[in-house]
Amino acid sequence: MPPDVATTNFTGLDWVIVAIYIVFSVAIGFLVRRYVTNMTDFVVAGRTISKWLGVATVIGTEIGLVTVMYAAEMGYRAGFSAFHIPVVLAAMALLVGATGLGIVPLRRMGVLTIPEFYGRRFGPNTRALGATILVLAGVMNMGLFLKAGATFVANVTGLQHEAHIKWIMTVMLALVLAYTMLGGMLSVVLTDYVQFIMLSIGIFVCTGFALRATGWSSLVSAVMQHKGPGGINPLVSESFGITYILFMCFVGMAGVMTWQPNVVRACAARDTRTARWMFVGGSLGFLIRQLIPALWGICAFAYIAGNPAMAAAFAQGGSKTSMDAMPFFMARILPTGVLGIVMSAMLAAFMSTHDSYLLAWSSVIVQDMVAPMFPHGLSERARIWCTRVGILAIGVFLLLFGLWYPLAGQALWNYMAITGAIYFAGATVVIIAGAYWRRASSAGAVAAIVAGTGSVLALAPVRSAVLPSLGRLLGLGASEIARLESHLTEANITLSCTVLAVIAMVVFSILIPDACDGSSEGPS
Amino acid sequence: MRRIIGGPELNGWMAFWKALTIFSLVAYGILVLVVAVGGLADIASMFSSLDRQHQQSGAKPGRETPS
Repeated sequence: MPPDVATTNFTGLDWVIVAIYIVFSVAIGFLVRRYVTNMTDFVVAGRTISKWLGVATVIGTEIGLVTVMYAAEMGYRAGFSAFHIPVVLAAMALLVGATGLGIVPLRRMGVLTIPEFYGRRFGPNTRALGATILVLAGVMNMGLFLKAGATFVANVTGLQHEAHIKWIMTVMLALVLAYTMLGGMLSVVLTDYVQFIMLSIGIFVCTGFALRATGWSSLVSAVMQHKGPGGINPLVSESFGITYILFMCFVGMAGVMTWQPNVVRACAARDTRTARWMFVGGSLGFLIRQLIPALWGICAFAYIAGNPAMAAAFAQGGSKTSMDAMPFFMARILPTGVLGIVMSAMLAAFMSTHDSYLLAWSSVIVQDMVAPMFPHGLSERARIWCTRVGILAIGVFLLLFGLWYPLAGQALWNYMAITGAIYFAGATVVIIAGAYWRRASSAGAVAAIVAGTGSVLALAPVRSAVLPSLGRLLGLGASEIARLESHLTEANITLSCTVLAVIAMVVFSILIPDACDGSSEGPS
Repeated sequence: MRRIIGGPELNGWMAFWKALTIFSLVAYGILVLVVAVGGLADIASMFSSLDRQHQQSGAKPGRETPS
């Protein structure tokens, strides 16, 4: 590997800074264990979280290392055009907040999870199916968090041995699992606050150094020279275009309205007005969390494009991928010491996202899948232990999945959007129909949830395995199969599955209506 | 910049992206300051609330409710 490509400013001093920070952060998580006495303490911190601490934990959760990595990768790949993604997501959060679409009926019903809404509106079978799909999609969505983290650590530290990186990430995950399992939401909230402070310092330091190393006008000229107008205007970009923007509109709206970590906040709000305000105010967070890292990705692109040896390493068939670009760039422009602080900030982002998501998904497993199986309910202690087992099981899955799953050239952000869509393509239809259409039936809800899972076809490894076989089955030639693959983009597949879910909901609700036994709660 | 990009449409896009970047950085800076200060006060009140709840329920800190 040429010296230009192999060097990093990360030294022993940076390792010491990282070690001190991790010990400090994790110790806080362990120390609060003594305050946990029941399930309410464990899952919702005794419902004692006030607004600023709530905001810190929301930002700590939403700006994960994986967020930084996928947004930076999109900036590197697509230039300024990638900025349209955070703009669309923020606009959709604003729209949902302003209109109250979906979230107001959910808050009025007083549910805490989407499967609970399914259960009260459509019955226990729909609840069990919905919870299963939600957990599967949610855990798959987390599947590449470790891989993104490992890529960051490898590029910043310059560690060449894959085994070393895997061990570092395994230890990080084990620490998060340990303090989340023992201290629950209390540990999560306190560590999130510390991690929010570190993360914010890291964001400003990185942005300052990145812009100083490149300069705004250099970014513009590099993007224009290498990517053309498509690097600036998303409407004419090869990576995006109008269908992709529509896909992002759907991902933004459905993600805000149906994704469990977002829904639980709206449902825990004091009233419907507060729930709506959370999304109106939160839209700023949706903008910032992707826009600033995307800017770092563009800075990395301009920096690498200006150095032929580096550009060769990042060219097709080279030793580096687009996911490596941002951390590779940071390892060269940030001085020793500062790099240790930024590394700590990014590991803070890694931990703060993992802990909240682990708790969110394991809570759904216990509340919506395990507890309903016990007619006499589960004791507080049993619920806490089931949640702990769920956290551990998800952690083990993440470790295995993150090690073998091939991205196959797919952008990390598209992987995240698609795994989310496996769940919310159906969930959005079920929630809107369940809340606003009196004739929506449980058969329609089940059919819509199942139709939405078809979005799994948009994942690159699934698409490359299924589409050629499908083409051959239909008697298509090689050129026709290639044309089919080019038409069936990630955006087209996901949007088609959503339309299919709408059709399934309408047709099955009309053909198989629910018996009017008064057991379910209709739209208010 | 006009010479580099060429065309009023792209200049418009670039002006928009630049303004958005500046807005995001300034807004996030203000948010961090407010949340960092307010969050500290919230942590203190959270622990006093938890202590109060545990005293009222008679639960011993460090022990999970057995039932």
